[in-house]
Amino acid sequence: MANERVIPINIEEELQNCYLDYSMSVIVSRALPDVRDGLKPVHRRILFGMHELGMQYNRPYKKSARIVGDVLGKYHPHGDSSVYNAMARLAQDFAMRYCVVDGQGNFGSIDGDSPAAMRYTEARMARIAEDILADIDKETVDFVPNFDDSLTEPLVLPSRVPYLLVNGATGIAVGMATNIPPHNIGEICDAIRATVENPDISTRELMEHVTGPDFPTGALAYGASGLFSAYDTGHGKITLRARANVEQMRANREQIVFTEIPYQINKSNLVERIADLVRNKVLEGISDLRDESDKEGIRVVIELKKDFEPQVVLNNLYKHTNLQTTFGINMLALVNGIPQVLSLKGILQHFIDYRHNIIVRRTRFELDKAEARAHILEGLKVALDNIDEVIEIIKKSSSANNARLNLMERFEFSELQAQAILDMRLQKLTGLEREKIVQEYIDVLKQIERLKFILDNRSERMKILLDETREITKKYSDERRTEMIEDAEDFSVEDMIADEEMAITITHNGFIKRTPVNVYRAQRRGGVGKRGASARDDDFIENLFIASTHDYLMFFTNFGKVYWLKVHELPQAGRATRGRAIVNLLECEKDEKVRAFLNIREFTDNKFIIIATEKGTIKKTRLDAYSRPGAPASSP
Amino acid sequence: MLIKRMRKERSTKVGISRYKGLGEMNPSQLWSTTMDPDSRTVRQVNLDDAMAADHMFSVLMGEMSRPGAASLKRTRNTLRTWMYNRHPAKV
Repeated sequence: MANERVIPINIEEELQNCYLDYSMSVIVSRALPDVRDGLKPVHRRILFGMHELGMQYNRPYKKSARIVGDVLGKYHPHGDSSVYNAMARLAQDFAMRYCVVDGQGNFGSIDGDSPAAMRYTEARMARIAEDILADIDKETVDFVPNFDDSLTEPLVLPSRVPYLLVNGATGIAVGMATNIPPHNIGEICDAIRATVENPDISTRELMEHVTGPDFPTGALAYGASGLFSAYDTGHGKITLRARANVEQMRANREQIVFTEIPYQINKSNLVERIADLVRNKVLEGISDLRDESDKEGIRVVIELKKDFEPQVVLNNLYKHTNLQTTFGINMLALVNGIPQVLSLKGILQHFIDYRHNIIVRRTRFELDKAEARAHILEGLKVALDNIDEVIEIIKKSSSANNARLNLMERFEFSELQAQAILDMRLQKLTGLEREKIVQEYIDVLKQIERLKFILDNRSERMKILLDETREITKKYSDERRTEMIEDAEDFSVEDMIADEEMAITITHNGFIKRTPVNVYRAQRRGGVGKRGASARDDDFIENLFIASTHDYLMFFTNFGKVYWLKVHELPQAGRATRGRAIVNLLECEKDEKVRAFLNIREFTDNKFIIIATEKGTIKKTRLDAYSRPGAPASSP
Repeated sequence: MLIKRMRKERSTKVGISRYKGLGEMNPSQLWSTTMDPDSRTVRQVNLDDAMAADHMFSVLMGEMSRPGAASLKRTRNTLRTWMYNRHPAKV
């Protein structure tokens, strides 16, 4: 115990400090993307690692394990599975709008199957990655030492691709999270151009170019005001719905077919969930459910029972399953290492400023190089003009060093020039080669002039920025996949159902159906009448009335409860049928019988419902007190 | 500083290694740096105020909800201070 130092610490303080270190490090170097290149550290390191390994899109695939090993050992001292999972995701076409890794082998599926182990799969960069790494060797970005100070890695990649917006980002840090949806690259490039041309552009004006997120899985997106808020303030939400088609199977039978599902939804879980709900009778009218997806695409088929309205079943599917999901947009990214919530314009502006900075740095690098080359060429030119004298000096010199000094003294060459002359091959003395040097010198001078012009003119740099953006559009722009549905704020099933007049019949034994009124055509003189509904022997039609498909029907029962149904939720049937039992449409209890019906269009406050009981009590209640048809049943 | 002096005074190469002790070190290295009572530093955890400590645990490691804008601002200020303490040069 001689030299032992004991430092007493307080658990509270220690906990606080450790937690602070942990949370801050998660925020700045794990979970959040940088606003400039849109990458989290692990993705940046994977791309840089692949770049260092020379795994360009036009080179052969290499084992994933090599990439993971390299990235781990050189830049990312974390788990191998976290690196591999991150890399695999970059290659999944259902996760990434624009894949940056090109995978060979099983990289998982939308059904939640995981990729094959990294010893089996192979990968290389996708073509778009070359534009994310373009000009990285031209001193365009800062490099910092890696974790053990043995190598350097880029702080940020010089991406020409507006990665943060086109591929989006999801990340949960400590106490904050980010969720940026992917977009169409063509639309984002248009928005960049518009922002450069008009720096004061408003969110509304930007939305003429960026109509909304564009998910790799397509689907339909709703929620114009949520979207505007997301683009304007960084927070907002939109609703995603699976794309559905109704197909006719055979007479009277229809099937709903889903061909696109919302982003980040696991298809097999979704199908399982639908099956569960059908089994538990939450979803009605479904006779069969099949997943017919194949290499051509997604195809989830739901067969309907006879006489069930597809739109009603569809609406219930949207309501109860992930066929409809909410995508909460929360555009948080690191700006100079500090997390910040950004608007669409904010992200675009940061990207533009960054690109501008890259162009300046690249031009400066090229200028330095060109000037150095011009310097050498100048020397060579002088040497070639006085070639006999130069050769004479070299012949007379005792050593290479001596020759260099002598040349420098005679022609006022710099050391670099003298060295270049000594390194020159004899074939340069031919006439053709001499001409080449002169021509190159002229070209380099022109280039220097051009580069200086770029550095002196901001407008020229912006022009280059736009040219490069246009090139990105040309190379990678594709069709939008997600369909934006305009102004469907309070969309409901009614939007899809025509407001039609229906004849509703209710029998004494409680069977109900609706029939379009046009089925009962007017008859001429001599007509014998038409049967409006059929009933069993001991049953008869008790009520017949006309109501619109958008009306409510209220059912009052002998248990003192009231139930609601929309008219369109009633089974539609032909004239010669009796319909379905009301108790099966409502979630009635045993022995509960419907005693009275009311047909209501709107729950206004100037109408009353009067209820009297057998024993002679009576009351009136304002109609709007019943205006909560969301609840399954309540006491009147 | 120390490294520079060592590099100058010795003819052998000098390098720095960083270990967190997660199976990265040899037994002898672990002994000399953290186990040997003659050279180790012990941080003795004390519990002065159980209530306050419990509170801190639940604040930091309990269920967390997404903080609002004000809290994000506070986090950012904390972050600036934190970054300054770590790498004064970068801020």
